[in-house]
Amino acid sequence: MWLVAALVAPARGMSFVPFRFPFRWSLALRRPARGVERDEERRFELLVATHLDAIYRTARRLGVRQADVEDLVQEVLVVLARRLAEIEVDKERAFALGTTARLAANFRRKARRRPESLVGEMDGEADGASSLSPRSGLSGERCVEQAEALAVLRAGLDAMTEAQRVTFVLFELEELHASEIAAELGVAEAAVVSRLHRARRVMRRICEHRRLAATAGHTELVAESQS
Amino acid sequence: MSSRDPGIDASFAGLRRAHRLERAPDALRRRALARARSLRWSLNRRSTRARGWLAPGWLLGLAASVAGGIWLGVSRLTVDGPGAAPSQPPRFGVVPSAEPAGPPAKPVRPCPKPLPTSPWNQAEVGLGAKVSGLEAEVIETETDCGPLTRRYLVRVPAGDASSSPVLIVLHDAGENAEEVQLPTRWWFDDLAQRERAVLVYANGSQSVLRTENAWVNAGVWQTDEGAHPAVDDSEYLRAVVEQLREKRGLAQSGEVFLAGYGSGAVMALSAALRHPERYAGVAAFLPSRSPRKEDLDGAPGKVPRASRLHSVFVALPDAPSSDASAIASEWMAALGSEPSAIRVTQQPRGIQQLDSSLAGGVALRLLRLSHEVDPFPVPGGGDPITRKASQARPFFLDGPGAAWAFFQRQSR
Repeated sequence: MWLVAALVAPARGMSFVPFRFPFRWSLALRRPARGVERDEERRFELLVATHLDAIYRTARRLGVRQADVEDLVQEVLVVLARRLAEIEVDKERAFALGTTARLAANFRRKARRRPESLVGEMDGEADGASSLSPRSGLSGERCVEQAEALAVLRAGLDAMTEAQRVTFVLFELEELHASEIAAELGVAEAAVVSRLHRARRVMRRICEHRRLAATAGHTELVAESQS
Repeated sequence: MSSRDPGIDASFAGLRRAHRLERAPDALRRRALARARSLRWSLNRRSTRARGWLAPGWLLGLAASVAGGIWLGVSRLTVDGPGAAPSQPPRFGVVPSAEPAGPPAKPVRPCPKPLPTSPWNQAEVGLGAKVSGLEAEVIETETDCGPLTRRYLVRVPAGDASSSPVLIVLHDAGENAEEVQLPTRWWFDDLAQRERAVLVYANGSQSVLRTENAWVNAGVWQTDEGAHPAVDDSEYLRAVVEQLREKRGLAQSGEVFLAGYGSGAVMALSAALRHPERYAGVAAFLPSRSPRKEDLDGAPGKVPRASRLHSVFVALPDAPSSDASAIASEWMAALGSEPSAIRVTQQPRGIQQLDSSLAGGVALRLLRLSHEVDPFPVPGGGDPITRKASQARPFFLDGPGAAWAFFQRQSR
């Protein structure tokens, strides 16, 4: 009887421990109320609606190709749907972004094995294309600034190692806490801080380089106009 | 602990703003939401179905019990058989042994050919050997298809020889233990007396190809043509040492050297290749052929460093066709020597000495003799029969003596 109960309990999403003697089948096998399922559905939809953009842009920042982003988002949603009961309240964002980082690593690995990297090479031009759409409501000048910033961001992220890149994106761009990142990536918090330190140094160097290049270009432009 | 640095945050604020402004495309958002709804719905439905299947738990438990009982019954029936008596309950404190009570019966298969029989009279065994002070011993070894009676000659040095090394000499094909003294000019006898070693002349088994004209006791080794397929000479050599140890109290030090020439050299090298742990050294004089696949099959690959075999000595004449050199090189390769590790030293009197360190830590010395040098010269010079041509030839090489000195140096 206890063996059967132990088999049944996980299927119900219950733990085996709370059963008390005398054992009551009616309690053990009672299906959850319809309202509970509805609550779960509602929570899942809310989670998707709230964090879909974060999942999307995290995937983009982590180097997943534009053609693969939709597949990645779907896979993240599948994981969220299956493990919804395990996700703690207020930890949904960290869980979703951590899952995105893990799956993005798989996608990048697959993309490296596939020879057709032409689409991936064109991704740089598509970077930030959605933010330049009319829905974004940005003016023309802001659009150009946005595209330039994304280009700098992309260059800096490309110069990092994979671990540094994930840490930088989750900490600096998505503003997760170091403890959350450490828990999601399965590393020590000190390792997260160390990676972040190195990633910031890389990004600062790239920003400085771009700034110098822009200044030099501006100086040449002014000199040409004066002459 | 917070790792957030306001100064750094300020420098990346522009990048963060640009990142946050990016939104998922509308089409992707619509598809993702629709897919999420259907996914969650299907998961709910699946879990409901699973719960429905698992609900009649008592039925599941009953089915598991019945299946387990059937499985136990079938497995018991398979092990004991339908008519087997119930096993006796074990007596308290007595652990039943897994081994059968008696010695295991050795399967005896019919021989493809009849085993060679002993042509000699047991009463006359060793009559010829007694002339040179040797004693004959008869030994019975087991083969796959019956017992095989063989013999060997032994001479024990005077005094306490329990810890003396054992030198086993293997004759060439077509010879026997008595005849091996003639072509080796009694050098092994002298060597054994000088070094206080137990000398054993091993005797090969009779060839199944022998004819009426062949010598009566002409013996071959398992590495030769015409050897009976059931004969295992490695086992015979082991049994000889074992008998010396048990019957005469010899070979207590466990130092056993093999020496052979011609086919005997091949057998000695093959035995050392298969069982390097049994022998301390091997001296092979003029091996007649290269190692074959059957010689290498039972070998443990490279000679292990932990094995007791620490030196191999090969002597061969400097033949114009250099076949002998090729044979020696192949044996060296079989023993694990690297070609680049061979060092050639030119000795006086046309002798080339090749030293090599084998991969397993075995030292290999190869003496290449010029055709002018007799590998087994007669002390005092000259051939004992012709007494010609070698009178002027200086006595230079004591082949067995050189091998022995090499062994001793290696063992030190």
